[in-house]
Amino acid sequence: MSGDSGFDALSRRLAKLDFSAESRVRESLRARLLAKKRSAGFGARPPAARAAPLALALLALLLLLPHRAKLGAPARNGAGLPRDELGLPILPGRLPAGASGGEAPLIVVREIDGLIELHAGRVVPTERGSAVLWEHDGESYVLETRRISTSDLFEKPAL
Amino acid sequence: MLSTLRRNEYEPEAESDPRAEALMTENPEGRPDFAALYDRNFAKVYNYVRCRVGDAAAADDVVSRAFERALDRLDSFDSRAGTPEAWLFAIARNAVVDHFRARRWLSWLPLELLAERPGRDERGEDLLAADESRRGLLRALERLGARERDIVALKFGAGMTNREIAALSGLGESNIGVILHRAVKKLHAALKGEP
Repeated sequence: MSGDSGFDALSRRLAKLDFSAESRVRESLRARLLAKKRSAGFGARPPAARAAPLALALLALLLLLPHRAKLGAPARNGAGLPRDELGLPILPGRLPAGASGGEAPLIVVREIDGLIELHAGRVVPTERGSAVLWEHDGESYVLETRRISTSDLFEKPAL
Repeated sequence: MLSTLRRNEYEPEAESDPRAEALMTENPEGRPDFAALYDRNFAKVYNYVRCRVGDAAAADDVVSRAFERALDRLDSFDSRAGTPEAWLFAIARNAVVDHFRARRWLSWLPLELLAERPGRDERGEDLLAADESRRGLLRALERLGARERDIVALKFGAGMTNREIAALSGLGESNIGVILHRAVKKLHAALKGEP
């Protein structure tokens, strides 16, 4: 019985053990880890929010890829245009319906070292400024241009 | 006697821990809030690690590594797999294992190199000197086998229930009770100076 009471007393002593006051890193470690958490953005935003910019970038890439592919096609073989028309302006009759603009389309496409060089295009008014309209392989493409000022480039949103 | 260690006054309630629930509800994404996790568990993790490694400076080192890993892996925490505490102690146990692995490697180093390692925690030693019974307990813990020491540390250092220890260690709950009973008996004998 005395053994049991000693056993119980020891169990009680063990249960009350607390060495944590002897730690020399408790506060400094906390400060360091929370600073790390803040700087790395751990837990500051939920994973979905953190993934949002990446998702947007991927979406933009996916939307741009078909256009890049279309732009890249004539660079390989110039198939969209008859051989004799390469380097010549596209006639107005070849522009798709609705591609209104100036009197004469001034698209000149030339293949140089696998790259398409756009010499000129017909400037068409757009909502935000102007665009250059050109056509290839039965489809029309618009290269939009926007007039922007340096203040647009270095705009600092303020409340 | 076994029953006293299976479910008695030293054992925290086996039902859901409201503190653990609070940790979860603080974060709608299901991930624990790190600051709250740290504040509520530092003492438990430290006590667990201290019971395992003995030395105060080594305990600080291992605890630092454990919490650092917990922070790095916070996004991988899955509340369906268990409580934040269970997850944290799994990390702490691995940190202890890594510590002993590193020490095994150190034992192959020349003694001159080991002598250059930082000295023991003087402040901790002062405190331990002031409390001989606690030092005696730590010395007695060193006599236990690795598994017994781990379970005793989880039980008394971390304040875990037998069920929680069973879930963490992969052993049966009744087996945990048996191991604890034998371990405390060994500690008792060691403290009494018995062989």
